[in-house]
Amino acid sequence: MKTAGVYRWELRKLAAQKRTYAGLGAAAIYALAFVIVLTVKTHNSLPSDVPLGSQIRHSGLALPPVLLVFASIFGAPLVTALVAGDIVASEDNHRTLKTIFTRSTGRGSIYAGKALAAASYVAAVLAVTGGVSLVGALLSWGFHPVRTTGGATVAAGHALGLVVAAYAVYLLPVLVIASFAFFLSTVTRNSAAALVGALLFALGFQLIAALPGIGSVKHYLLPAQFNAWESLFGRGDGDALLRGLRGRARCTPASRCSPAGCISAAATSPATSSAWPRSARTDPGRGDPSRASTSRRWSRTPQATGSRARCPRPR
Amino acid sequence: MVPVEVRGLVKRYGRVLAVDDVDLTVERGDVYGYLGPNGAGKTTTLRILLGLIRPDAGSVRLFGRDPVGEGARALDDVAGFVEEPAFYPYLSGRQNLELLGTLDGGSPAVRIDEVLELVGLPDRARDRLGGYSQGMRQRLGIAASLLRAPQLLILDEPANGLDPAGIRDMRALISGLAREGITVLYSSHLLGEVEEVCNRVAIVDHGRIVFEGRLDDLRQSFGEHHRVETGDPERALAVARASPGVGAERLEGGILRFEAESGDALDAFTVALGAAGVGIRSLTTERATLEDLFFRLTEGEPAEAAA
Repeated sequence: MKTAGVYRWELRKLAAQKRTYAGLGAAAIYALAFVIVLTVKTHNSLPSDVPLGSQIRHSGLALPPVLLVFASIFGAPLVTALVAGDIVASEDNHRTLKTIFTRSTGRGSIYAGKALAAASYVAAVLAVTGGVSLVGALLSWGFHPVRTTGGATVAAGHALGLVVAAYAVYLLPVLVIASFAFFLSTVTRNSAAALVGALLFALGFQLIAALPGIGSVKHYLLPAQFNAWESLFGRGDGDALLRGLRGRARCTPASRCSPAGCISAAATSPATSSAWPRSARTDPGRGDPSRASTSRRWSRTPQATGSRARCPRPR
Repeated sequence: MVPVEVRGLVKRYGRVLAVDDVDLTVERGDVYGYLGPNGAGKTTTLRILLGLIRPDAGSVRLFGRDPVGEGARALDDVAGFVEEPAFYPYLSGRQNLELLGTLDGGSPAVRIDEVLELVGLPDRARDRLGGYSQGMRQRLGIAASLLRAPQLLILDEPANGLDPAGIRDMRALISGLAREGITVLYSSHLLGEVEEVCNRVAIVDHGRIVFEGRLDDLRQSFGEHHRVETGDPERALAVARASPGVGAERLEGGILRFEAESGDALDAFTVALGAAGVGIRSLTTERATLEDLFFRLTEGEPAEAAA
């Protein structure tokens, strides 16, 4: 109940801050830029080397998933960390932690509310990206069936569902970035450090995934989760993944049905929850020697948690 | 239950001993001044009281509950702030109070109006906090504390940033709250402010309490002195030495400085001066101000007593 109250106010606080609109605006501009450039510059070649890239001018339903590919390396981590990395650090910047920690709500509820608000912001960013690109692309190229990378043709209505599912699957690894930025925000109490740290975290995974000889380990790294949505538009087994996410189908890395939910949740929970004990034992104030850390925890309230995703256990 | 009971409180930061074996008892209805120069450890003690940091040793009880161990749950009847009150600059004053009210479990709008009225901020309540002056933030800090309808108010230098009229209003507000039965623990280095509103004080220096008690006790512990100017200082000194209950010393300019055990001893001395043919040109009583005593205790400076 208290967490719900904190969560509502965290959303109101996000709605009152320019930083939030900068993130959402960047997402909208990113989507619009693709739509406009690909609409106006008709002689430009399409990004046919990415899934559905060749389909962009055949159906307005192809562009939204394509945007996810280009967002993975830099854009999504940056916009995510912009707010998730600031949500605790800004309290330190404004010295408001000591204000809220002396009211009747425990630190656990406060951090849980903040983690949920950060997750909601991430979902909103993806919703804006998907929504703006979908509307723009549909206006430009129409509501037509999509041919998958496997050669199957998916009806427009069905493809729309797959687009929504692709964004839902993509949300999970983005939440991993968000949880790491939240962790850094709590530990460093510095927005810039959290932002840079989260970017390095994401880029580091990209570099590791590019290393030769890491074999099947690659399936469990973050970049694989960013690409997990591609199997929805793969060899016609999008339905299988949808069922898999509902927990009724086989779901193995070998079948390209990456268990994004499990892996992302496994990565999200430790990052977010490890922020809690750190925050619980840290003095929220500053300005005198008391900014130095104290020696012991003073509370054992359950920690804040980030996203939770369900997926069948890989066999 | 005693509002504040602190025993053996110790807090170190590296080699700095910020709070050194502090004992503190604030009784119900007290307006308790926690006095000390900057860096004496006042704010650190208040931080511990509000559960913001852990002490290295000692115990704290607020109405019998432990804010260090229980966290926010121990602060149900307690409100206050340390250092300057801090709020969200991108929200209005009223939104800040609404947010804090939510964290308290919900505060009705009428209560928010009441506290804003009480601190004189109803006209600016819908403005963003970013445009507030330091004094307005202090007022909002008190409003935010009163929102919880506390039985104990912990205020850290609440007069900081207030203009003289604001300080006067704040004193009146605190006196009014005390009359309503709210206990106030009030840290300050503005001695005149404490002298006017507080009935008890603790004076802290380098983390240690060097005096704890009633203001009158503090003054009496340093005694009351008199100065007498006569036409014949030598004979006056001889009369003083012969008078029971009087101790005197001769100062420059023929002035005699003396202490009298009681009013009767003082009366007998002045009569004896007259009987000895020593004319009294002036007789003044010196009473140390709290400021004098404060400097004596915290800096070891000789006090220049005021008449």
